Amino acid sequence: MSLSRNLKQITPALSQYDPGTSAEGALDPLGLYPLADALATELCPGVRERQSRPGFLVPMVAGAYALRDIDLERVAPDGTSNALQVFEWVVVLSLIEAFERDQPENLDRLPGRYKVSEAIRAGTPLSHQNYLKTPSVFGFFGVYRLLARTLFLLDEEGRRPGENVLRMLKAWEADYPEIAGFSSEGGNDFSRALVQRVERGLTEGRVRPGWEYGSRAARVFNPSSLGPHTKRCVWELLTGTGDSLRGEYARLVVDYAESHAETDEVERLCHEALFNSGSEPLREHLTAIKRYERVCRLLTDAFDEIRFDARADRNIKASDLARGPCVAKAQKELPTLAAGLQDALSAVSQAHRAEKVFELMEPAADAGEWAAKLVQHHRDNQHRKPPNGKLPWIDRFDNGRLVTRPGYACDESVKAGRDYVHSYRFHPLKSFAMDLGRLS
Amino acid sequence: MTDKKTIALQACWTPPLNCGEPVGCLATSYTFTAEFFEQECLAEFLQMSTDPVEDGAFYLIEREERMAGLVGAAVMVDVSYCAGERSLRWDLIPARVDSGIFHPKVCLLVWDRCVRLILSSANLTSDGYRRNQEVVGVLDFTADCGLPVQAFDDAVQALERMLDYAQVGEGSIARKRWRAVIQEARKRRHFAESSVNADLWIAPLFVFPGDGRSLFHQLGQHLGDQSIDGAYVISPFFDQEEHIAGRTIRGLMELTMPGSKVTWQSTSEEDADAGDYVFAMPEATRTVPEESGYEVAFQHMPEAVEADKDVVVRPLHAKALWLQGPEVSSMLIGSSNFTHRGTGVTGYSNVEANLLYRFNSHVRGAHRTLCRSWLDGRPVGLSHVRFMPPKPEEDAEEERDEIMALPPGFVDASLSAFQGQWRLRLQLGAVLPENWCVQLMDVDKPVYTQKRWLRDGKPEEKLFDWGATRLPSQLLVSWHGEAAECRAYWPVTVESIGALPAPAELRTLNLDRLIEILSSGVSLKLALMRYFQRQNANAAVEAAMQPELDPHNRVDTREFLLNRTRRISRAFAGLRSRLEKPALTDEALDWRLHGPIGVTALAKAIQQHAQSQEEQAFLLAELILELTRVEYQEAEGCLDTAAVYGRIGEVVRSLRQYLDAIKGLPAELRQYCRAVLSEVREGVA
Repeated sequence: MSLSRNLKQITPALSQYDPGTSAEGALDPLGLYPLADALATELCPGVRERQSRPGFLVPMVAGAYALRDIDLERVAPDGTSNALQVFEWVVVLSLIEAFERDQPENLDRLPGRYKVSEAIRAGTPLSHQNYLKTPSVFGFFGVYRLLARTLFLLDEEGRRPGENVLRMLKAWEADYPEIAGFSSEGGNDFSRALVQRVERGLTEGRVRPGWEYGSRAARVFNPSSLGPHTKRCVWELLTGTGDSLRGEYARLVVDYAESHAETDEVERLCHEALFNSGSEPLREHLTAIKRYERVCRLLTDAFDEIRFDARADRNIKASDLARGPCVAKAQKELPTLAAGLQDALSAVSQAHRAEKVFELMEPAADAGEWAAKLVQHHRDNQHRKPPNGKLPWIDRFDNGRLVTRPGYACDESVKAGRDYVHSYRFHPLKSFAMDLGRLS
Repeated sequence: MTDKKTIALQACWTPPLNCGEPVGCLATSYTFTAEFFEQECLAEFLQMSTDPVEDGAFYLIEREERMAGLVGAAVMVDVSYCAGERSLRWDLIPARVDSGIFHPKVCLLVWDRCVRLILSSANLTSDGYRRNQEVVGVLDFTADCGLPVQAFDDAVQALERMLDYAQVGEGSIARKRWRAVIQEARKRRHFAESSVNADLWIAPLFVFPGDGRSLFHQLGQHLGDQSIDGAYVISPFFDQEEHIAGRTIRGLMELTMPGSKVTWQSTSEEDADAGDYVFAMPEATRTVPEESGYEVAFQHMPEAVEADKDVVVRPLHAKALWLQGPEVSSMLIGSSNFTHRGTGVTGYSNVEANLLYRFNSHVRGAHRTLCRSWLDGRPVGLSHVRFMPPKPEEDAEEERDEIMALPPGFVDASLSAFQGQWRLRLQLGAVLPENWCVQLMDVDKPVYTQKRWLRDGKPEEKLFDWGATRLPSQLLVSWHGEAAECRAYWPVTVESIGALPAPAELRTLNLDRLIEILSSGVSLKLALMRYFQRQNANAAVEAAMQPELDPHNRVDTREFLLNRTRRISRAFAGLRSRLEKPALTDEALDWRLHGPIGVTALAKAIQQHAQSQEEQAFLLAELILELTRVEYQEAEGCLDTAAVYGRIGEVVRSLRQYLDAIKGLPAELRQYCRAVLSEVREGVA
C-alpha cells in the first residue's frame, strides 16, 4: 500500500479525554468499601452503583432466549468469546450504527460506545481485539448480569433464560408488534436472523458492520425508548421480586426524589426521611448504614487531613497530626460510637466485616498515636490489594516523617463533614425510575 | 474540535487485526505509574480479558500465561520516577541522564506480523493517557505498509542506544531482554519499504546529549533546501532563563526565512479585568524574533475543554512544531518541549524522541489531513500578551523532595533461581551515599547496610539467600542526604523468569483439574474460571444439604472408565496441541513443559493421584506416547524443531526412567508399556 493512500491512518492523532472505567471499590485507601457494599447489596439486591439503564435487560433477556439452544461452552477463535459475548457485539454495533449520527442521546451510558465507534470509523469488524478490555465486567452483560439474575430473568449463572424471561418477552413484544412471535417456540424471522448472525460471528470471531436487521435491532433494543409494557414489567420485577427490602426502598427513594432536589448530601437526607416512613426491617438496615457512615466520615476526614498536612513541602510527624481538628475529632468520637455500631451491624448480620474498623475505634493514648495507627491501617490495606499490592499513598520515613506521595495529596484543607462516604444505590434507582417513567 | 483526528491513547496498545501472537514490547517514559502500565497498556497489548479487582486470581493466571510467551517486556523510566510494585515478568529499568532527564515516550510493540512504533508526548501514567491534551503518532509496520525502512531502522537503533542510559549492570539480564525484543523487531524489518517516497516523508528524530545533532539541525537536514515561512510551536514548557531561551528560539529561526511568522501556542492565565493573557513563557519568545524582523503571534490554549457533555480540565502536555513553506508542510510531534534541553541546542540535553511528518504541498488532501491532527488555540492580540516566569521544565521535583533519584552507586538488583531456591544479588559501585540502607518495602528490617558492607570489605556484589518468601519487585534505599534523610526505589529484575513461582491457585492442581483444563480446548483462564464456578456451585449445593433423590443423579458418571479414558485422552491431545505451537523463547517452552499445566505437572499429578499403580503406569505410558507424537510447527523467529524435540526428549527420558522403576505390574500391562517405549521416536527419546 502506498503512503499516500494510507495518509489518514499514518498522520498523528490528538488524545481523547478518556476517564476510563474502573471496578467498583478500586480505590478505597482505608478498606471501608466492602462493608458499605455489603450493606447496599442487602438493601437493594441486584442493583450496583454502575447500573443506570434498565433497558439493557431487554437485549440480555432476548439474547439469552434466542440463543438458548446454542452451546455456551463453545468459544470463538479468540479462545474467550462465547455466543452471548458475540450477541453483545451485535447489539452494540447495531445501536451505534443506527444512532451515532442523528440520535446520539440514545447511546448515553452505552458500555463500549467509544471503542465501537472507533472500530466503525476505522472500518474494522468488531471483535475481542477492539471491544472492551474486560467485557465480562464492563460490557452491558457484565454490568447488568447480577440484576438480571436477581430478577430471575437469567438463571443462576447469568447465562440462560430464567423463570421470568417469558413475562418480560411478552411485554416487549406487546410494545413492538414487529417482533411478535419472538418468544414462540420456533421464534420469528428476527430471532432466527439474530441466531444466524451470532453463529457466524462465533465462527469468525468478529462481527462486521452492516446487517439487514440492524436498524430493527437498534429500534427494539434501544435502552432509551422502552415501551409502556416493558417499563411496567421491569418496575414490577424490580419492586416485587422476592422478599428483600429492594421494593420498599426503591418506591420510597423514588417518592423522595420526586419532591427533593439533588444535593451532595441527598443520600443521607433521603435516609433520614425514610426513617419516618419505612418498615421496621428497613429502619434497622438504615440505622446500620447511618452509624457506619458516621464512622466512615470521621475516618475519611481524618485521613484526608493527614494527606493534606503531609504534603511534600511540610515536615510532619505522626505526633504533629494530633493538631489537626479532624484527627482529634475522630480520635475522641470513635470510641464512643463503637458499641452503637456493633449493635447496629449485628442486627443486620454484618458485624464480622468490620473487624479492622473496630480496631481503629479502640481508645488511643492521644491523637498522635491514633493518627499513626490510621496511617498503618492504610498501609496494611494497600498491601493487601490485588494483584501485587499497591503502594501506600503516604510514605513513612525512619525518623517518623510522613510524606504524601505526589498525586495523592489533598489540595485543600479538610472541613469535617456529615455526608456519606459511600453510595447506597440512590442514584441507580433514581435513574431506573426515570427510564421506567416513574419519575419525571 | 469535531473534525479533529482523536484517539484514546490506550487504543494504541490494541493489536491490529491479523497481527498474530504478541512477541514483546518496549516502552520509555519520564514519569511512570507501574500499575497503570501493567493493568492498562500491557493488558491491552496482551489482550487480557480479566480485571484485577473483579477477577482476582483469574487475572493473575491469565497474566502469567500470556506473559510466558513473550520474549520480553520492559519499560525504561527516568531514575526519578522509576518505582512501583509490579509483576516480575516484566522489567523496569531506571535511566539516568547526567545532563538532563530521560524524557522520550516511545513504545515498540512486536507481534508476529506487525511491528508498531508509537511516539508521543504522553508519559505512561493515567493522566498522560487519559486526561492531558497529548499528541501521538502510530506507525504499523506490516506487510505492504509502505512505511520507510529508514524510519524503522532509526527508531530501533535509538531504542538500542537508550540502553547507554540504563542504570543496570552491564551484564544485566534486563539489557539482554531489551535487546532480544529489538532483535525480534529487526527480524520483521522487511515489512518496511526500502524505496523513498519524495512526497511524503516520515522520520523519527531523537535527541541524545552531546552528539551535536540538535532537533533543529536534524530538521534542517530533512527539510533540505525547502524554504519555510511560517512556524507554529505548541509547548507547555519553555526555558526559564531569557538568554538560554534566546538560543533555542534562534535555533528555530535558522530553519525559517527572514521575515517569517512565528506563532506560539501555550496555556495562559486570563486577566479578565485587563483583558490580557499572561503566558508562562520567556519574553524572548516575542523580543528575539521581533528584533530579527520576524512577525510574532500568540495563541492561548484552553485547558478547560468540553468532553462528554461536560467541561473538564485537560492540562496541555502536547509538544508539536509545524513548519509551513510554499512547497512543504512539516509537522513534528513527540516529547521535546521548546527548551534547550528538549531540543538539544546547547548540547546539555535530555534524551528525547519525536516523529516528523513532511508532505509536499501538492499531495492531495495532505494539508487538510495534517490540520486535523493539530491543536487549535485562540489568537491573542499582541497588545494583550503578558508574560510570567515559565514553569520548571516538566518537573514535579518540588513535590517530591524526599523521594530522590536512585544514586548511581546502586547498580543492579536481581533475583535468580539456584537449586530450587531464590537468591537476591545486589551490585554496588564504589561511590555510595552516607549511611545507606537497603530494605524491603514496609519491612523495617534492613537487607543490607553501609555498616555491613564496610564490614564485608566493600564487595561489588553481595548475594542473599531469599528462600521461598515473597519475591520483591523493588527495594527501598535510604541514606543521609545533605540536609535530610533521602529515599529512593530500586527496581529488582529476575534472571530466570521461567522459574518464577506460579500463582497459588495454579500450584495445587490435582489430576482431575489438570485433565479438565487441558481437555477443555479454551484458554487456561476460561477453563479455570469454569472449574471454580462449578466447584463453588457444588459447594453451595452441599452446604444446602439437599439430599439427592434421583438415583441417576447420585452417580458421578465422570469416573466411569470409558468416560474417564475419553477425558484423559482429550487432555493429552490438548497438551500435545500446546506443545506443537511455535515457541518464541526457552521460557515459553519451559512454561509448556514445566509450568503449572505443563507436562511435568501432569506427570506429577498422575504419580500422586492415579487411582492405582496400574493406572499410573498406563497413563504415564500414554503420556510418553503423546509426547513422541508432537509435530512441532516451526515458524520464523521461533525455537527450531531440534531444540524443541531435544527439550521434550529430556522430559520423556525422565518419565521413562520413572515408568521403568514401577514394580509389580501385571504382565500384559508391562508388555504394553514396553511396546509404547519401543515406539518412542529416536529424535525425541
